[in-house]
Amino acid sequence: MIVRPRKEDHLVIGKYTGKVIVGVGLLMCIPLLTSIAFAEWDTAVDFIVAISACMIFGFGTQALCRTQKDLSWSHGLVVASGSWFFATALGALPALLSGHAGSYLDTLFDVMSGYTTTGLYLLQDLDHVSNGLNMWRHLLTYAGGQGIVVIALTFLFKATAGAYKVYVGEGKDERLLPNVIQTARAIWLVSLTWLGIGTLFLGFRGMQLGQGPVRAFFHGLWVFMGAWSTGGFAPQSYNTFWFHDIGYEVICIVIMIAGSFNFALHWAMWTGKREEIRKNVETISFFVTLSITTLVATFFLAQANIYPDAMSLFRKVFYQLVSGHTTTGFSTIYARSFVTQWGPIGLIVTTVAMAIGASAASTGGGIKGIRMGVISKALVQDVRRMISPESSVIMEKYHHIRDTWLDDGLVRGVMTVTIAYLTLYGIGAIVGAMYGYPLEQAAFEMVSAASNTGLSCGITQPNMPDLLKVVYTLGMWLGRLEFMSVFALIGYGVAVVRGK
Amino acid sequence: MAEMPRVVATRRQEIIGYALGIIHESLWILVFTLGAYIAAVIAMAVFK
Amino acid sequence: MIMRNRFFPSMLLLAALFALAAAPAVAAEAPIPKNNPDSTELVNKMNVPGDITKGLFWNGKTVTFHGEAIGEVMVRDSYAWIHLNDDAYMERNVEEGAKLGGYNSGMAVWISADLTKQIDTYGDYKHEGSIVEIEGVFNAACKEHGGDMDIHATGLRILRAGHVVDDPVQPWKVWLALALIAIAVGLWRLDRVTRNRISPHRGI
Repeated sequence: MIVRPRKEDHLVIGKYTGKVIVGVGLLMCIPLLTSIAFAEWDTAVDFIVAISACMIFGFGTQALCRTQKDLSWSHGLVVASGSWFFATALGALPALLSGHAGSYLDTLFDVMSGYTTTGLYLLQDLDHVSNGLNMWRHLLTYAGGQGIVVIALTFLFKATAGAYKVYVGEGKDERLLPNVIQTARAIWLVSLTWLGIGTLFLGFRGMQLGQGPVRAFFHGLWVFMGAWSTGGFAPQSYNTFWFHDIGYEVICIVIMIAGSFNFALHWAMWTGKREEIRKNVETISFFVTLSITTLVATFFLAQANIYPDAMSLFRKVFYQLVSGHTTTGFSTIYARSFVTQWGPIGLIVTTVAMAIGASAASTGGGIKGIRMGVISKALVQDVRRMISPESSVIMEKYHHIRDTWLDDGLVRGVMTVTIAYLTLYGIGAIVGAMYGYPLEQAAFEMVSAASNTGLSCGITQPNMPDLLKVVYTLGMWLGRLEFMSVFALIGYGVAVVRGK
Repeated sequence: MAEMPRVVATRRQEIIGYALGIIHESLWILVFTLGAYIAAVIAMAVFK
Repeated sequence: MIMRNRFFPSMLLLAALFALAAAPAVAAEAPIPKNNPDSTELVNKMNVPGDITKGLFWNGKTVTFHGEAIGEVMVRDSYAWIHLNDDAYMERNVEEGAKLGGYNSGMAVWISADLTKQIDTYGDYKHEGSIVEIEGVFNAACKEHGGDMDIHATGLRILRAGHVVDDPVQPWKVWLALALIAIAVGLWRLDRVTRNRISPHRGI
């Protein structure tokens, strides 16, 4: 039997969703100030409109939804996915008003891509976009990487048991510190420290490469935001190909990989557990799968003789694969080059890297390293069981901050989510193929969207079919929130209509 | 292994800890990148 | 109500302004012909379609290519990187009323830094860059530049100077903004007032 939600349930969900959206409105003040600083008045007005719309939604729901009740688990999940939905609908306003978007759907696609740190975009004439709008795009992706709920937790929520439930609903379940608000602040401390250092490095390198100081700083900041949040947005349509420099690429690689690490790993490293980076199941899984995919891609592209020497071959292969595997989506080749220079095998290897993706509780997406680690350990366990005497007890454990023994319930949970990802990838790839795109390209593009990577082989275009835009947008949303909270939202909708 | 007795770090020690953490992370990634490069070059020399 | 009364007239006014602004620019200068090959063809056209081992068609060939100089020039010693966009926004950008025509598309060009001194404007939000024609060798994966796809140019010619782009604030947006601010402030007051009415002693 489905229980119809009571009035109290609506009130609690409305109240907290409203709070998160007020947070989104406050966040828009940064691009507003940017456009004022650059005297981009038309853009500034766009942001004032969007901020007001967020405040109307936020204050309106808070005025309507008065309650003292705390959140339950299902509320937390619905608030997380519901906030993402409304944050996307309202966050799309500045891009829509700028006139650079083909339709409202296109801007929804872009903003969902930003929040989910995907990096695909449909914005047109990016090279002539204002600094204010560029700031918003990158801020979206930076904020989305930490989680918009995390932002709201940091500034707007009181510490309650319910707060933790929204936090988990956003696909993060690490407690770095006992209290969830402290955890949210610790996540910000890590991200902002990296932001400062990363922007400094990229900015200085940009100046050495011939950029003016202001452009070098803003490009550094934006590229950092794109890399750290494993987002993949960049201020020019050429993406990081713009810079033509191995130094810049190496800095990006360091930031992308660091951004793909679990926040719990960062926190362990920062608080003195330095051996964690060698022992953690996710770093091991990441380094193993990245090495394998790099070697396979290097082997086949070397045979195809695409690149003139070992250095340039490695530079291109490793950069695109790190970008794919960390689910960033930066590229130093043209989108169509995946087809015309890398070919089917290059596409498939990159697709595998993207599908596996980054670490859990990081800014990245994909199936996640911890699940790969647990599944491979479970496989080893099963094989060992088969070849051991029946009476022996075979136990396997994995290390993530502390050692955990594998049990069937854990493996089952991991397998469920993994199968959900594979199903999502499969469905999207089939939809793409039904529109007439070659299967390997359709798979590449869908995996890129659903694993929140953002590499493109050229299917994503402003004039692609609308249904495909919708499928990719849903893929990003489901992939980022790891299914459960979106399902909870759908269930909530069903319960409102059909419940008793 | 038994849990070490917790010593409350001062602000300064905390910041030094953060800095060392970042450097450690970055160096690991750089070492890995270099390792991947060497592995790729060897692989190409072997297969080509 | 104010909104509705002003909205359509101001849109009309705006359209008229755009038409006025755009008309002389179009009348004064003849449109610039399409590139042959254009940047899309350079990236896409293979010797044998589907066979990457046979390489890209234009690789190693000398091409003449023009486009809007975008972003900035990045000087590296005596040479420099520039980027030329030959897309739908080469002559006019969106703020000047160009129709949306897909993504930007262009080529990276490696050229003597002295030659780039002729370029007076680089395109961004407030500028439409100079349209520059270069001649040079197209590299699908440049040996000198870590496998980058680029053109090593030997000659440069300015086809059209760049210009400053105005993006005036559109009046209807201002009215919309004012109306929304008013509603937002009203709701904020309402939120404050009702909060105290329900729970006078503990704010949430």
